[in-house]
Amino acid sequence: MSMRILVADDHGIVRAGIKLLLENQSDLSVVAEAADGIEAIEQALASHPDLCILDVGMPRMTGLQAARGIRAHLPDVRVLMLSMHDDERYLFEALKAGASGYVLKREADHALVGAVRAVGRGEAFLTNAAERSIIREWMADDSTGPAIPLTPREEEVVKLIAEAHTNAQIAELLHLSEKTVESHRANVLRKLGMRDRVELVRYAIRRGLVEP
Amino acid sequence: MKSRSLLVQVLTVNLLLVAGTVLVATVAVDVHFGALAKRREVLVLVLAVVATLLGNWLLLRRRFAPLDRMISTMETVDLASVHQDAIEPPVASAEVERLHGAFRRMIARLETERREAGRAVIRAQERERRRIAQDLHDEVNQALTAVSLRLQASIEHAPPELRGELTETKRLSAQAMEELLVLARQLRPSVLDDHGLLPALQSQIRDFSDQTGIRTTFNSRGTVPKLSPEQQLVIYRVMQESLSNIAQHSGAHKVDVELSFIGRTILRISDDGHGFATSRNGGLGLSGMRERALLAGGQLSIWSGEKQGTRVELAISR
Repeated sequence: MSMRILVADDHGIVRAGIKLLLENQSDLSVVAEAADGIEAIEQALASHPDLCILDVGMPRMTGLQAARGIRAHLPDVRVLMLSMHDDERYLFEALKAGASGYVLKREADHALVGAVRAVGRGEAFLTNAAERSIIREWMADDSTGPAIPLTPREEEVVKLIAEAHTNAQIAELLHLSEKTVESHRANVLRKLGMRDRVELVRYAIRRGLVEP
Repeated sequence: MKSRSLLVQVLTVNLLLVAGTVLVATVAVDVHFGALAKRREVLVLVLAVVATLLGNWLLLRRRFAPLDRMISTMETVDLASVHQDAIEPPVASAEVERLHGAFRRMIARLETERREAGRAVIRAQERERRRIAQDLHDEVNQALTAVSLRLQASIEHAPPELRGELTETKRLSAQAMEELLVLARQLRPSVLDDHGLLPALQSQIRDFSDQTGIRTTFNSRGTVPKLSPEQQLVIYRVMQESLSNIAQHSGAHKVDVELSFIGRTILRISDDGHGFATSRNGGLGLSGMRERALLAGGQLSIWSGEKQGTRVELAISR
């Protein structure tokens, strides 16, 4: 039986390339595609794949947020993160969000198929560059990075605020009431000690929730 | 015709006036030139005229001196390093003082405008770089990723005689991707926005050391004060430009970078390369660095000489 895979990347050409490469293998098949994080969760719920390949930087909901969402609803689905070419920054967070593998896009051509199979078997997979980056960070900094004061839900709201969605739109996208969104927004500002949306956008950029 | 100096013109007018007055006076008092005894009087008159002129010349020269000084100040003033105090206040007539005041105000206005224009240029340049970096990163590199993935898929299907060629093509595409990444990183110091000044400088030094094999040390002293984004950027860019010069021209084996926040902020980059004559440094992007430093309220100094290494120092006072 072949492994059923969901591919989420906001760049159609990359998605198509991944699909082509994976479909070449007799034991792998792409059953769903998504162009953003929210769509990825929806598609995962609808098609229940064995494995999701998620790009870290996507609009509306990042790959990291989508990974959390998918793992929360479907704990048996494995997640493989695909990251920007030179961006090893989100490695730790990806692993914390429940991803079992992390592949840089520039290494995807030769590493992706192996990574998919390894993660499918239940192993962890990191490419060489990702491993190097872990070691480097470990050596450079003995603390494990700043604590994240926000809950995953609050981070989702922050991303959508930073992308200039209105409260009503956010409520609809996250299936929440507008009131709840408003209280999330207030909580976030209080927790971070910020006053307005501008500061929030800056925070979102720093945390890799949106592209600058 | 070349116009004569103001001093000569005034003296000429005075000479004519005095000579005319003397002539009219002599006629009026009916002096007889013919008489031999009157020769002495003529001599006294001529001497008086000459003495008047001489006194006139001495006095006028003193009056006009501030004007001369102002003119030479105006001719040599360097807008790039102008200090208001350098333009000395004259002790002279009301007109010269007014002229001086007007000149100072004009210089101040020019300086402000130049500063603002310079800032705007740098901001526009940074914005443009950011946009290009973003495009390279997001669009071009995504396309290259797709190319690599598709080539990999083709290699798996290709007949053996085509595989070598396809693999080589894939290698080239990977190489292009690497180069684009380096380029994008240089264009847009995104680590500066994301992680702050020190990590940005550290990662730049690490990249430099990795790429060139030049032994590089980094020391920072004191705690990072609140620097404006402009000042952080100038520190980052000065280091980038210096390191790139070192890599390209210096032949250095060792580079020391120091960043001190004690008192004012000082970035110091020294290498043990063969240096250069500081008089001809136009082509090394140094004037651009100077300009940037100045606009961010800093000052750039460079010490170098043949076979003596180079030291670049950026000082920003708060």
